[in-house]
Amino acid sequence: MSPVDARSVTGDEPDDVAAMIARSSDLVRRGLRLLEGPAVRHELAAELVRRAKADDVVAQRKLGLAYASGEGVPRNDREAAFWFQRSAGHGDADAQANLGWAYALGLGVEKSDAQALAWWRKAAEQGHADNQMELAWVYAYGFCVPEDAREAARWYRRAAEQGHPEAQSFLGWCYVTGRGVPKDRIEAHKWITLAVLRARLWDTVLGAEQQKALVATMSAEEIDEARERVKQWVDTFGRTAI
Amino acid sequence: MDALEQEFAAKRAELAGAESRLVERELDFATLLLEWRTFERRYLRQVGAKLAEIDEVEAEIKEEHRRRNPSDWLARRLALEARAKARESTGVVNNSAPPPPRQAKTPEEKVEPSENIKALYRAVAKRVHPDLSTDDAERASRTSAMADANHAYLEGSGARLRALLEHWTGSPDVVGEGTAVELTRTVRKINQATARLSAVEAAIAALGRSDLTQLRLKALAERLEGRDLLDELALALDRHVRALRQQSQAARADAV
Repeated sequence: MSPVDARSVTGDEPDDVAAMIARSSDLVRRGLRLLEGPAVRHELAAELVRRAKADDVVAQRKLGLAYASGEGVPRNDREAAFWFQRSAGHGDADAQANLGWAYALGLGVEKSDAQALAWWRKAAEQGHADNQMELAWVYAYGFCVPEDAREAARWYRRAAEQGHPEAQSFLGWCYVTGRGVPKDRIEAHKWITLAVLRARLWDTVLGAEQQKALVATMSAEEIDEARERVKQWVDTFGRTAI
Repeated sequence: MDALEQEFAAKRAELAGAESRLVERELDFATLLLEWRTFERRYLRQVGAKLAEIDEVEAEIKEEHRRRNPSDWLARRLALEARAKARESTGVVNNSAPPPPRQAKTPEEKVEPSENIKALYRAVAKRVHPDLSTDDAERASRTSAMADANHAYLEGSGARLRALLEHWTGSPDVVGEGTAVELTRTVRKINQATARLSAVEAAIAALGRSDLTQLRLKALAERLEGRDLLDELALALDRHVRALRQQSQAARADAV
């Protein structure tokens, strides 16, 4: 080991300089680009292409999305699928989910339910709640796979336990209807309450109406029990979840 | 003088040269780091914060679009991507380096610590630098003393540098074990100092090549013409933020 390696990291060491520069480099590059004239969209795309070709997995995923949506580049599904594939192959979870959609809809690749499901599973198994949520939907609605309520509930639960409001709301609904889980009004009340508590503006969560309908079927003891479980959940997971 | 003694004398001279070069470049590195961070901080606060705001509004627009197209996978994925980007930019801006106690008036210019502070830093570095000693038992305490010296220098604290100098006065290298042993020790010090010097040189070069340095040089050139580059950038971004906010409000009004 060289003497340099033996040093403790203080943040002022030569070894840390690259990390220090990288931290703000995206924001700094955007400032530089502004100076080079009006931020022309194709210049941004050119930089994305350069980084994607240099095997930057995030740039590959973003380039794929740019081609899929036509933002900054002419829309091109084959290019989109190509870059999702590259990024997904390197293990990028979000690119894997995107590639799943490309296969599901036959965008730039030959439509394949099996491939779609395989990539969605890979993405979900990496643990991001949003990707788990998508896999749950796929099973719940039987999109590209035979409908499987138990599998849907299992993935809703994994996302719900990470604090994902939509997943919490859908899991609650599973308990209301008994789809994929045994009917359980208390658990239903717990998850729907959590969802409403944590919902962001754009989340699709069951609203006050459904909650009211559910409450109408419950005894006071059941509601108390549900509230107690909400409190326990927030105490245990709530602080670290999304 | 026999051959061994001659070699020893030559190596001692070589070490003296390596020592001065290393201490001088450590000083350059610490100074550059101070300038770089000071400018980075100002950039992130003035310009970075606006860019993060743009990302935030863009995420809101995409999320609104997603809300109106719940079954569109692409709308959902674009909204997630935009939200992640906004979160990242805001994180970088909020975690920018804390300000050094002595703020330079015009941060893109050279932040010049006084000659007195520099001289103190050189003296401390010569005495405590872990690569200028062969005492392995002392390596950890020397490393942390050197880190202290760097922090004291960055903060312009002469008092802390003087305290370090006094504390380390009584730690001379062991002497009197014969020329052969001393020669080995000298060669080892030269090797250590040379290895460290190339790490420091590489770091100085990396800072010099960085985009932030490019930006800082442009800012410096503008200042000579009486203009403030970061103010101008922030102003241009302000217009952009306003336009985006209007777009975002329009999208929401459409939805109602």
